[in-house]
Amino acid sequence: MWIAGQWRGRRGLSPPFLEQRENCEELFTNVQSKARAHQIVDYVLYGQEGQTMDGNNTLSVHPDVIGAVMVVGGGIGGIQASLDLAEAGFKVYLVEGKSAIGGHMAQLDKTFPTNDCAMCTISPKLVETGRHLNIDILTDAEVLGVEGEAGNFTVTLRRKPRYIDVDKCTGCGECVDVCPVIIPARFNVFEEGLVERRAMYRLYPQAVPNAYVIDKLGISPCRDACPIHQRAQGYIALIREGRFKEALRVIKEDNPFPGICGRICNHRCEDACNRGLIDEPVAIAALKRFVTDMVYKQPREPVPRAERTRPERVAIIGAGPCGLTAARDLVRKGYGVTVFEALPVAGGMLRVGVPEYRLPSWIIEREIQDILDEGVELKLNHRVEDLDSLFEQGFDAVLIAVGAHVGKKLPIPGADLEGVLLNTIFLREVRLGEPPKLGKKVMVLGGGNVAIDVARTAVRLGVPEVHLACLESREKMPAHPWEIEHAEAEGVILHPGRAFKRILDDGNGHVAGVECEEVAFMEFDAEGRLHLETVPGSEHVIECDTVIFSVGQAAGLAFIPEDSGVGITSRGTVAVNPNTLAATRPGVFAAGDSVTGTAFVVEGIAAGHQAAESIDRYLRGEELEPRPKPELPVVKLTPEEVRDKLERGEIVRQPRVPMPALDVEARRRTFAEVELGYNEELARKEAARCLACGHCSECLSCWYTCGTGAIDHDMVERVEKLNVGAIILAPGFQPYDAHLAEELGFGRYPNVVTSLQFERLLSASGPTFGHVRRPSDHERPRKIAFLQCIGSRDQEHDYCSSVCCMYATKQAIMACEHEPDTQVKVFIMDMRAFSKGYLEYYRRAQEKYGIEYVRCRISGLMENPQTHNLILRYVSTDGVEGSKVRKFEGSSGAEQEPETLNLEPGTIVEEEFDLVVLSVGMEMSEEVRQLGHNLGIELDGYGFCRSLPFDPVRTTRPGIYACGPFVEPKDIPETVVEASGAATCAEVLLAPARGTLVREKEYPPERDVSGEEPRVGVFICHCGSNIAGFLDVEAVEEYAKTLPYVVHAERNLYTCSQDSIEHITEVIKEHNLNRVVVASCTPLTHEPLFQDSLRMAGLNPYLFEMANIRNQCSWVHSHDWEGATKKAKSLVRMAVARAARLEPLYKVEVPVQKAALVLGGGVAGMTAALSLAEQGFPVHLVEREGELGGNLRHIYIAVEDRGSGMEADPQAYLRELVERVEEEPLITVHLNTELVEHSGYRGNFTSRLRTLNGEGFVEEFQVRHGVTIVATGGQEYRGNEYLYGEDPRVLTGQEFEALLAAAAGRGARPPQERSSLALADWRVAPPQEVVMILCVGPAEKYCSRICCTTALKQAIKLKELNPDARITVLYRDIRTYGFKERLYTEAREKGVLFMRYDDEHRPQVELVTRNTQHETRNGQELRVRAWEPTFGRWMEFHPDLLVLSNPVVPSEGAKELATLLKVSRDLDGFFLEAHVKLRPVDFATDGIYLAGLAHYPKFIGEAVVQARAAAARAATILSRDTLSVGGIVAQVDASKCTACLTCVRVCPYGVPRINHELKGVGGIAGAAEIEVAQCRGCGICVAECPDKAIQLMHYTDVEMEAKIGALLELPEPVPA
Amino acid sequence: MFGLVPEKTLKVSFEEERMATNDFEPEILALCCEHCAYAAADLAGSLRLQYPPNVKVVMLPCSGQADVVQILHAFERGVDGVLVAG
Repeated sequence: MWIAGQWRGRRGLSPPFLEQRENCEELFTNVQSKARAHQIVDYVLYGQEGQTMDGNNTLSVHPDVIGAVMVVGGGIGGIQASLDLAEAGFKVYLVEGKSAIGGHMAQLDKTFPTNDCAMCTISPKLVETGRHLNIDILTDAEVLGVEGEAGNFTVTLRRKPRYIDVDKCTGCGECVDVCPVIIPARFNVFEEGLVERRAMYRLYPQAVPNAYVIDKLGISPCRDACPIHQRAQGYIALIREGRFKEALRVIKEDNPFPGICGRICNHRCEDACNRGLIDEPVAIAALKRFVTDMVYKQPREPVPRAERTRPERVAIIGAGPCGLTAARDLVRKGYGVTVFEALPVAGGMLRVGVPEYRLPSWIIEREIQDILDEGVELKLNHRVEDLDSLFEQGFDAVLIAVGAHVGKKLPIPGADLEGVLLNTIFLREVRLGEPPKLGKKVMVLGGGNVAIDVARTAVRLGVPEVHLACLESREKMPAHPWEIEHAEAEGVILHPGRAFKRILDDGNGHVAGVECEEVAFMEFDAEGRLHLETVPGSEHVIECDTVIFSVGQAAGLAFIPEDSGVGITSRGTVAVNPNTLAATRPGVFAAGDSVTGTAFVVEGIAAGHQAAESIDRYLRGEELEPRPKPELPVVKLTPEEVRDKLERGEIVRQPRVPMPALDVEARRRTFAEVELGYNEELARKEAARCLACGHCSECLSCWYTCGTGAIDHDMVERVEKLNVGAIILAPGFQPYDAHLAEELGFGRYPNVVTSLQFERLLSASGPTFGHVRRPSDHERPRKIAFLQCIGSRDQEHDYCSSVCCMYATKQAIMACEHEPDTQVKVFIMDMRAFSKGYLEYYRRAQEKYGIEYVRCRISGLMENPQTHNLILRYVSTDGVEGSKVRKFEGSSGAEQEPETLNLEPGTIVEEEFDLVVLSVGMEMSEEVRQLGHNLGIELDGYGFCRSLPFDPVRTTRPGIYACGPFVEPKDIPETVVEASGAATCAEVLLAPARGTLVREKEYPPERDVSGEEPRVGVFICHCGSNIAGFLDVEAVEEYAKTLPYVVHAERNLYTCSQDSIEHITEVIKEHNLNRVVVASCTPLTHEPLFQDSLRMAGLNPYLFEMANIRNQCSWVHSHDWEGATKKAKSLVRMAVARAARLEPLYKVEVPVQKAALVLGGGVAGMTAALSLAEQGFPVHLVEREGELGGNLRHIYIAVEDRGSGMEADPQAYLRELVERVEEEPLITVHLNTELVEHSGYRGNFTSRLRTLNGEGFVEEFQVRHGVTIVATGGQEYRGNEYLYGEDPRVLTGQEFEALLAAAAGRGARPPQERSSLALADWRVAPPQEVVMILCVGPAEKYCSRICCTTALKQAIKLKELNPDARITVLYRDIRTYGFKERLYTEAREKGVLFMRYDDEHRPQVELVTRNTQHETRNGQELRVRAWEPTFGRWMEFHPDLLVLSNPVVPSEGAKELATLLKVSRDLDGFFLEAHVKLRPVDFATDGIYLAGLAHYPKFIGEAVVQARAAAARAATILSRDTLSVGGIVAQVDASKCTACLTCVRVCPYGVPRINHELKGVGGIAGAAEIEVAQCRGCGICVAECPDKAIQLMHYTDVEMEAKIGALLELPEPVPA
Repeated sequence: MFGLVPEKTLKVSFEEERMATNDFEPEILALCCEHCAYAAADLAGSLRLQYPPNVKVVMLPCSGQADVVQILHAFERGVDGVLVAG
């Protein structure tokens, strides 16, 4: 387990160091010897003298240990761990499954108990994480597995495609505005399913990375089925939105012939359409046709010519769909393309093979013209005679796409008679306007689509009788059924199932009829050979005067001579490699019908695309075989999913909108189109039937819109491997799925919401903009009920989720803050307000906001169907006063009108609420269980991580650590503490590799601009159209040019894009700028980015100013073009005015004293000391008492092993800890020692310590250290409540524990005097009756957190020792949070009795004289009286022992220590952290940290983790050689200072002090001094200083006045 | 939510006349703390919440830095109202 110890052994802690150890302390107190001290430390650390720790990879490191850590989970825990590690010199990979970090905290509105805005507190951390050079955020990622061992792991990750290049996306959001796909609310995870969102989205406005993500499940089946992968879902979504031009644009990406395909395609897309599972497939082809009709009706806009970027030329033979598609693709790729066509018209078969009534010529011509516009050269009437001549003309490649225009005749007698025609020639002549002469009875031979075309054309030419005969039966005819139906409707007489024997001669060499036989059986075998059986004797003649063969077509390859090097197959097609379409001669390719035989137009287009790609590869000299493309999954709906969608109402059954068609009579007379197409209304109606199977429709609107090219729809999932030394798991929790608690109506009753939903309703950035509205009618709820423990403390969950009581209280308070007349009732079992400040918060909720807490668990609720109000039935345990309730009297109770009642406790009442909030608990998701499995760590039955007793962050696999709710349900500060604690574990493990994988950015030397006239450059951002769409950016630019000192102004599409950032650097150099203003978005996120450009150009980063014209102009005045423009000008004017006065600021590097001072030798102090020493940092461990151990010496029974299945002995743990501290050479233990003086600042503290040495002499000495950790602990309260101190049978919890331990034979130390008295009694007569009173003395003011659990653990132990003992626990609330709930359950199961008391009925303890067997030495016995609320009477107990759960109070001397360190304490005397949520182990003063009971009462494991956390924070300083200080800090002008102490008093960080050596106003001694390293730059002292003696750098009066002055003033004249 | 229009603007006597006419458009300076109010103004932008353009936001490292002298200077220069938000 102690891997750290192993490497410590390896590094060879050696005698030389031990010899020097004495010197070392001395050296550290002596600045001159610092270098030598470092050498010694280096020697200790790395075993070789002379190497430095400056991070330049010169360290000698064990080759196996990797200086990188993977943190899994981007919530607040993961963020904290990442920041700690990265700051301490490790490379961090932060893996997050979602598209942005922030976790659940980012969803919250406020945090308890300070009511801080959650986003305001987390957002700076998000930005810091996102910008950190040594943190790689890997979003959309999942850990698949891990190999290796602690110190060197290889992790396999799966990265889901985001379809957005995070590095290119600027987060401008233009893509969202054009996204046509609306995704159902239930997929909106961040908004908890309250509102819908687009397929293009960002998790939340402040998301980090600030990049969008596309919600694409995969390829829709329609696209998958289509040979050219037409993005059908895309154009259908756009049609639904009425965006027809855009729809055509995306169609044309895949298909140059949409008008044609919309008419004659065989639309396999429709066969695959998921909608077919419900009613009928979407009419995809008809919709495509509709779009072309709509757009083509408008005057044609010429298509821009593609740019010629390549020298090569390609010749294409044949201007059919295949050849023209290839031609278009190739000109788009930059080639010169010439198409040769033998016919006088282009379009191939489309133009001369398909009849006009199916495909009007104008559409073909229009679509071909679009292709020619792009730069394709077309040569009509130009038959290519041979290939060689093409190459001779300078073409570099040739594509043969001649189609199959040669009709075939069957080899039967009479085939050459007059009146026998060929389909291809017939149709061509008709299309070219020269129809052949036909007779009165025409017979078409063939059953395919072309045969039908021929027959229907004949009808239209006025032939009175048209017959069609074919081999196949009617059912097996290859023509589409609808084509056959149309033909029959138009009067074509079908003769299916006929074999043709011969064509009869009328005697004049003209056709007279066809002799046929009936077919009994026919089949084509695999080789295409026909097997035919006819019915004997079935010969008959069908009379006719014209026969048209339509039995197949062949390519016309006459121009390919045998010696041309191009092979021809036996079927008469060009021989090609099917993957590359390359013919047997290099540079010659062939595609389309001339390769495959006749096929559908869409296949020709597909072949054209394929050929173009292949030719491109050929011409670039690349491998001709295409690389296999990884493909997205196809989104096929299962019948279950369909049913689910129907049930949710996401789909409503709706048959296909029928296509209007020409009536039959009209058809027979004209070549006009039969199908008339949808009108706009019908089309949009039909488009709305699309199920949006893939979510993202791939309409490419975003792709066209994105100005930075960030969108890539072709991204695919990929698997990566990363090498890391350690792994920290912070996967967080998932809220309990409230649907499962069916009795509470979530999902059925609209006004039942979960707590996270309510959080979003409260949030200003939520769906209701922070106005709480109930879902059913959007009215504001006046009565709200919170139901607690939903998914906690029940049959399925034996644990408490720890946070729900407090968050419900917070939400209740916030609801009342929003609308003060809101009535709130919270239905609880116990109020678990167990942390710092929580009890006070709970009290405030009741007293200030009138929130009522009802002690009842609600088992079900009903809805009033009229009002959608919810009716709760509950037992009013505490009595209900003045509430509108109904008394419940059987089931008819609901009929009564509610009235204001004063009720007795115990009455069952019914009450109606407008809104019910379910306080859902924490669970582990399936993904987390999978993660645990993938990583090979043990989880418990609920999916929580099993950790080691007393060490909650260590998992069962070395090198893998865990933190946050994954270990046990917990709130934000504890998660943050654990995260830092886990970070320390990783740091200890990887200490030898610290600094090996981190990088630092290098900048050119800074240019001195002092004395230069300001030369301001202004860069104004369009932000796509985010700014430019709402104000006149050009006018702002022109205006900026007129402002004083401005020498350059320009506009950028995206000022923050990578190329713009580099461009700014160039412009600074080019125009010799010395000040820069960027007018774009918010400096909070973007300032560091632009400051970087300045530094790259050699300018000081402080010579920069931003004008926030997006968040403060275009977005908030979007309906006021003039106003927004005017304001933007004002903001730019203000920015320029300030910029011109900005001065460079410089930071100073201050060396760090690489040692720590740890105050307190208890478990927290020892752990902190070890955590630092094991990383190689020397530690002074100071303990006031004569031995190490602190409070841990009094703990014999663990609570940590409950439910973990592991044995834990606190005393053994203590012994091990002390041993390790004593053996650790880098720790110097100072016993009997106190701190007497502490001065300096982070990185450089000096302390004086006073020791009482063995001989009773007092000795003082000085130590220097970079950090201080306060772990001075606490102590058990000893007051005189409940006869304590008067009667020996009244014990404190600590005394009782010693007694129990002794009785159990586990006491390693003799019990204290008082307990030994009781023990003596115990030996005579073991206690039979014990009463325990919780919340004694100060615990009424604050919750001491551990007492409930401690009392229960002791009660259980007593039950184990004496199962007959009767134990009664008198409590206010049982606060066994997290897994400690199991102790509560166990105690109840073992028969411990629980009685609740409240402030009005405190227990009464007295000594009474009663003549019973329990008589004591005084002849008096203890009597405890407790109020039983249900019976409404006092109960009496006569215990043998009364155990008082006395709380932990701050240790003696805490107040003095606080004064010495200049740190704060809270009202209860505990030390106060910098921020209760996110900086729980930091003091407001940098460099001083906090751990253990000094912070607040806590369990051993919690203290251990907090100590580690303090060490992690300390390591962020100790791991550096120097610290940068200065920049934006306050500076005192001593000559103006009167030493009035105002600054000293107002500074929240206690930084200013009066230096008597300075001379103030009038040369009088004493002036304020502000230490640069300590100043936080808030400027409060500046505002308060009555003498104006203090200036805040970068916000000087001159700068700020110039800025504010420029708000109204006209621009100053430009200096000549 | 970030209060965008101050409830009370300081009235200077010569301003009153201007205010009497209907077309009075006050220039309001909002001094905002970098950590909260300024971030709230940014969020108002992200949410496209509309407010009149005569409010100009200036960022301070802390609203505690808002200096009475600075505020008076602003009035001197003709600003009609100052909002300190933090």
